[in-house]
Amino acid sequence: MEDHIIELRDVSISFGDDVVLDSISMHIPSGKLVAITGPSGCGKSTLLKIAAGLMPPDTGSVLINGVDIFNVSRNTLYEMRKNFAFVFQDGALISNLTLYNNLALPLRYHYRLQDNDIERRVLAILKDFGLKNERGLMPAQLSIGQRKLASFARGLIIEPKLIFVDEPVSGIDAITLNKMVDKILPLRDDTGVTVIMVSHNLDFIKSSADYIALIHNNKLFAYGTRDDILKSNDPILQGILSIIVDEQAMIAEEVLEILTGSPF
Amino acid sequence: MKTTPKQRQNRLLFPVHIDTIGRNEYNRSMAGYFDTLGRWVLTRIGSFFDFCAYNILVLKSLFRKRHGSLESGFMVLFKQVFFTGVQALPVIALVALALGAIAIVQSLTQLPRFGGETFVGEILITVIVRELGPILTGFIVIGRSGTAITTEIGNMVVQHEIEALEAMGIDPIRYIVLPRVFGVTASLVALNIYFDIFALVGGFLVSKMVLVTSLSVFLREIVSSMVIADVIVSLLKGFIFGILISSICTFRGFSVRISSTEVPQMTSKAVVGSITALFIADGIITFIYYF
Repeated sequence: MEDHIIELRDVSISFGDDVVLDSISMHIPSGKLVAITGPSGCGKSTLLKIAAGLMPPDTGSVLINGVDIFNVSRNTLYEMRKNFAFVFQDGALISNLTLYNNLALPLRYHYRLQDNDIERRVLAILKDFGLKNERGLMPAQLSIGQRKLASFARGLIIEPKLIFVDEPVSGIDAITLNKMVDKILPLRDDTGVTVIMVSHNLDFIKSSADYIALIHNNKLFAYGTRDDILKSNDPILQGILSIIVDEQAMIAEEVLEILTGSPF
Repeated sequence: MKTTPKQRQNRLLFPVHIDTIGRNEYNRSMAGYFDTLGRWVLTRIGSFFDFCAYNILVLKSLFRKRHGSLESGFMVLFKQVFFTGVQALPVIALVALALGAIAIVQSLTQLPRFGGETFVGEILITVIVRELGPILTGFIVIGRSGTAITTEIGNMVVQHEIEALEAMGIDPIRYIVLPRVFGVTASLVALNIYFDIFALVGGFLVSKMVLVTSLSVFLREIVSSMVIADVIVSLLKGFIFGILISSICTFRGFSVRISSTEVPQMTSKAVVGSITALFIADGIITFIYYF
């Protein structure tokens, strides 16, 4: 039997009158890359935040390593989070700290390290991500891709066992995309870290995910191994996947239109 | 069908025949007025309880078993003291000098009409040290630092930075709120003393020009008019105002939910709330002192 790191039990959440997620239950196996996908606005990012304990569901529970994270003290939750990383879609770097201090913050807060140890670790990871020259810049001075990479680097600096990644490859150029992919895959392959990511990019999911969770109409429509999902003959499932591909193409088209000239 | 808390909250308090009379007519009816009034009162009460709950959370965080190193919090504290306490010195000095000078000019022109020249020192102490000093220092801190705190935290909420701190296992209350509460409170107490000194200097300069009073005579007058209770009340006001301003402004910052348009709204609420709280606290302390 596979070892599960996260278990979602009957998770539901509504924003006002809108039901966003309805009775979602799933297990996340440890050491695997699980991709959550679905059409726009289906609640993928909300599900990721609930799984990470950042947003309490209206009903249901989330267990990480068997511990109900919405039923423990704040201290316990903060202790648990020392082993997790969450990479936000827009980076969410602390805006009044330089890039260097953003990466040093979790080390300073959680571990009693000497300044030179912190410097060594931060500079090493910045160099690895190609951001060493930007270490003195504020987040507002970085490009979107650099912010995403920096957010990922900040997550990795604490050497987590579990990483939540929200749209890692959306809205970035091809070079940054390659860098991001080069960082995500070895995590699972070499270090056995569990990666849970939300993505629209089916090509990326096809080439990297071990498991795919498909959200549709606020429910977990399908969840299984990559082959189970992608090779399924279910016409509805294939239809949803094609919607995702179409959405991706539309976004690409819009970006191209913006880049090549104004429609006015 | 299941109803959400939001749906339940949105239900009318007085579910009269709204379907039959229509929304506009209902709003103009007596029940409509009571509905609006009831909503307004409930929102205020809810907001007050939210503020109480927030302060309990802050207190729990303060006394909770230590989590995380203090070094990062100290950096925030030093920055806050520098911004609130040090960078405010010029404006505090200017306002205090002007206030001291005005108080003396008014005293010297009005008091002789009633034969009260001997009360100049006492009036200076009462007006500046005990009353206007703490409250004006409080206003300046609200304008400079309180608004900055609410805006900064509000923007952090909108840009998911608070969530990012939570995700890193960093308690936002310990990292953001407590250093600001300590920083603003310590700065306000220090600025209060600074304000009093400069106001008295302003008063002395005017006395020197008008009455050719020597420094020793002026100081003797001030010291003889001042009792230790004046200093304690002044410092106590600074301390309480500091806690009120920092807790209200951080609370309003965290009250921002989704949109950046909420940030100026919350900043405005923080200013109004802080000023109101300052006057209420000032009234209570003065009342206790005199009675």
